[in-house]
Amino acid sequence: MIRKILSAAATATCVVGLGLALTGASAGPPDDVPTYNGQVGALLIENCASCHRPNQIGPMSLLSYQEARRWAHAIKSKVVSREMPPWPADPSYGRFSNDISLSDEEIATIVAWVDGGVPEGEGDSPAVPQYSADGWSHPSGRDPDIVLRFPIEWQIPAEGETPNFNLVTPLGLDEGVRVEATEVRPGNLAATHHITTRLINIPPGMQVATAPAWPGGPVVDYVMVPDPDFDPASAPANAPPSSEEQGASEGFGAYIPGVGARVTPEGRSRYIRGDLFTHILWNLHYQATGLPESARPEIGIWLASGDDEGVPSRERGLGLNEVTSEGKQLIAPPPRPREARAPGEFTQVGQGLNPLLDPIPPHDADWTVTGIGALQNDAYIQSLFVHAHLRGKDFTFLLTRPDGTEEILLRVPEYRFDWQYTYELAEPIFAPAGSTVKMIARYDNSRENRLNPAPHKETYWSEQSWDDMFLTTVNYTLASEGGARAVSP
Amino acid sequence: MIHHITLSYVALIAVTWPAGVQGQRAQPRGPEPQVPIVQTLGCVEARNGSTTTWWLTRAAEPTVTNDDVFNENEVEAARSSALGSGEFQLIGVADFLDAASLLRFGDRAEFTTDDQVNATNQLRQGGTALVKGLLIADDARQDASARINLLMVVALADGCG
Repeated sequence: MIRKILSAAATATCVVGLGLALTGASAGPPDDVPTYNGQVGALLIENCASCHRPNQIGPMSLLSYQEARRWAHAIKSKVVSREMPPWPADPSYGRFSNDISLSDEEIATIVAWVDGGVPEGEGDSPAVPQYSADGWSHPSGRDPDIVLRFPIEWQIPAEGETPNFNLVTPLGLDEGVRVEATEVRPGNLAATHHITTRLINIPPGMQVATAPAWPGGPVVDYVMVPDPDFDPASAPANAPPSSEEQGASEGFGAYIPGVGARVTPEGRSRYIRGDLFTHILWNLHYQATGLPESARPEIGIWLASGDDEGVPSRERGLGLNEVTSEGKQLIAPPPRPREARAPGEFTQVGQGLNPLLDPIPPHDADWTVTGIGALQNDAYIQSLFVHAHLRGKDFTFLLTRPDGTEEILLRVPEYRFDWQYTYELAEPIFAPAGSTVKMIARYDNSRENRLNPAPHKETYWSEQSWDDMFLTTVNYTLASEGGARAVSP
Repeated sequence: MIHHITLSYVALIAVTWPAGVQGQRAQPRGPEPQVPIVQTLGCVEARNGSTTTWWLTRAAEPTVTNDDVFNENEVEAARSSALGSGEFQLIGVADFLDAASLLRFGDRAEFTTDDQVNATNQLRQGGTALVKGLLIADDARQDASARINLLMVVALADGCG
């Protein structure tokens, strides 16, 4: 059974323009009219209540007949338009375990229920899961088994721009753990643009110390800086990699709009290598709200059940380099020697975002960027992720196998900043060594894009929401580490 | 049971855990690549059969590299580099052809139109190109031409040799 994961959050726009009319229930509906107790209640609880319940981001609760009845016409309107539950992927390509879209039959059931007078029906109400009292969004309602809290309450000024920055805290796990879900919670929804987390080791020549969080920023603990006592001559000639082999990384997950717990498909737990990594790298991006704010993010970890055994393997991330844009092959400037770089460059602020891309011209509705990544070993693709800001328009992932065949893995024809899913493949896709994954992106800087804050301006590439980003990841496991069973022992 | 690992607890672990112990942890290493990323240059040739295939002929000996985009120094150096005698079939070519050819490729026309297409036209019949990609040697095939699954292509000249 495909696990329904409601990790997305409803926005206030859900209810804009919708009538709030109360709808009366009829006592004796015709036999062919669905009822709340018979069919509709279970549908709403399974597909909507992860967001539409107390302490979640959905603007109204839909856990009971009395609650659902009030919003019946709004529910009908939103499901018929497929605006809710939000799932931006084109159903023509790929099957995803966290697909929360309703089937045509399910939509017809809700429509018939509303048109039939919103009957409650006979019998008991559908069972409501025991949801987490702390607001964690695992669909089972369970609280996480482990919570890793950010060590300090971060202070966000009321005004001004806060750059994207990195802090590094000890991991606190000394062994590998098999997990079925992780969730990164921001601690402050309004002031958080995104948080990503990654497991790392401290590279030779670096240390974690008290220092400015970014050049000119507040002085805090947990900043990775050069170690002044480091003697390069004492470093091993073949120093181990500080994080992973090139192109790979390992993350707990991210907080980005619309994303809650990242739950693996059934039987495919992830393996978090606490035995290999020592620290968590938090990439933090906050935005001013007009009021002084604070935030203390945390990571929830749900351990896999004891009967989920087998050869553990970890999920790796393949970032796709932007390679072409607007019909141009991108070419980098000549490399600069390390001594020519500014102090702190490439270590603290930002991520060197898309430095080769030209800005998107004003009013351009179809600005293209293509990224390509190489899979050098037999792999199983497990999930796909794309991140852009308000100009993001549509995105297509393609797999090119070594025999030259090409397959569309995922199409997101109407990207929405509010719903940034990791698309979990229902079945891992085998990619033989020598495959490439391409992601073709389009951006809309025109006034037709109703989310566009400034169609008359060039759009640059940065972490700030008023600029844009090309950031995409293919999560995979190695066949040599267990193949498709790598995360599904 | 929930384990809340807070600042003080984690910091205590860090302070009391000698750095040498951390250093003894197994270091994550990736496996040796089954397929290398290489770069080479050669002459671009389109061969028409039931479908058009693209080849790099008179190719220089490939050199193992990484997946970074070419930089200006590398492109400039390639302009004065010698051709060779290698031959590679090129795959994953669509994004490096002209727009019309890209739209005929696979399912591309399902999501791309002529006015939206991101086609570089760096892979041109008869031209010289610098390419980077995954080098796939298929020993099981009798017609065993090695293939390069393209990551990037830079046209160096309209002619070749």
